[in-house]
Amino acid sequence: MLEDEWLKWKLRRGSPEALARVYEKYIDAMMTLAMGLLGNRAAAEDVVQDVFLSFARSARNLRSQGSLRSYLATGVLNRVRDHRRQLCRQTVDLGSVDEPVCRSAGPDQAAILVEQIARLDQAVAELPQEQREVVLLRLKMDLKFRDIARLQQTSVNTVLGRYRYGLDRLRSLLNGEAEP
Amino acid sequence: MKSKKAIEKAIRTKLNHTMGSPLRDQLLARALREQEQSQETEPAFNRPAIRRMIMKNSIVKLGIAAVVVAVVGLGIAEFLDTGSTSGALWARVAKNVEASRGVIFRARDTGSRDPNDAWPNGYEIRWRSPAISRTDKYRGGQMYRTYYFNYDAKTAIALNHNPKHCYKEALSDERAQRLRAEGWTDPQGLIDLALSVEHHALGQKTIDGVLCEGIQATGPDGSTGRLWVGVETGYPVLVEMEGPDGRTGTMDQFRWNVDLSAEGVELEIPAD
Repeated sequence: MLEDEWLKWKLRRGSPEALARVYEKYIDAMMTLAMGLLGNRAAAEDVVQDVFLSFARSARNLRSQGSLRSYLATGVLNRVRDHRRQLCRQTVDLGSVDEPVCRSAGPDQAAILVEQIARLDQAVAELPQEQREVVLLRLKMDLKFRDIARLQQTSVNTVLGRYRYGLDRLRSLLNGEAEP
Repeated sequence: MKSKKAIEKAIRTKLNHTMGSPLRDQLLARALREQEQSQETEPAFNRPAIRRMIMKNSIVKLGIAAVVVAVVGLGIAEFLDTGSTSGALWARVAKNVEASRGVIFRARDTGSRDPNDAWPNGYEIRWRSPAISRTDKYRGGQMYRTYYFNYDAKTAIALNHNPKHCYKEALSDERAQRLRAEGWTDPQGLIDLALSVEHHALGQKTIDGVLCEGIQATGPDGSTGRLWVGVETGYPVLVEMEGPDGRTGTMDQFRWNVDLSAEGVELEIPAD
């Protein structure tokens, strides 16, 4: 988006205000992506911290032509892969799932939403890793399938297949329980 | 059975995680420190080099950064052909914005992942001047977070309002001076940006009783921005942006050439 171009321009000049804006704009999206990929809050926070600290260090030399969302999402994905190499696959800690975003809902409605979102979280966590990456990068980061294919170093058709199988599996896992 | 579309929608809209407030602000403070430490003493750009680039390339092909610097630093007249006969108005706008003591405006968007931050639930009030940048974030009409940069006091502050906690970072002399010297207003950056990419005139229309003239710019990714300026005042009145994914951003309720100190821009830091 045009705002990202302007932010990149200001970042190259060392603007802390622009860094704060990028941070505010994307921190939750990156946290959601990291949580979705790792299923563990502490690990997700570590990943997001690494991404933003690295981004802050290198922002002055930023050469990305694409969106900042895509740039940061790539950083999250790479660090998640590094993290996964070091650790066994994390299980979903439902107790650590953050409060869902529906603070304006009434208590009953909010409780139902918490439950629905926990199920959604769990279902996403049960996807095979490659399918999970495609689903989250597509739906949460709005990355194009060809960009996801580049990140996964595979063909677009494979990515489309992973997306389709991922959604099929989510559908069977959720079985209508998390109706939005 | 839940449909694929319903699952896609649920993941897009409901699957959101946030970083807790203390960690969120601590991380921003650390990021600002990292940014500070990574600053080079050598300026990141060189105006004569940019002028050479401008001489050799058409405006559309130029990098945005180069043109923005050129528009501000090297004179604007040769870059202000909007396809209309109103180059003088745009020249006046650029001059007014640059000379403005300060500006306060509202920024809102429909692209926030957290619906609490998306319009109409959430919005920002931004204060900008050569010495100060302040952003107040609102949810449900309540201010909940403020970012404040004072280049005179050389401070950067993140303040969470409920619960109250505050993180403060110092800016180096060199950095504070450079930031002051390199332009300051969001709208000015947007004007420069709008004029630096493909753009065309939109003609005139009345916005909130003010006769305005607009231009529309299209970014390399297909995103569009529309800038409307008051014909009589020569100040921006409305900025509208649309991303290729349909997200929108709006800046409005501009108050130009205001003394921010008189408007209470200084931040009250909680004692504890």
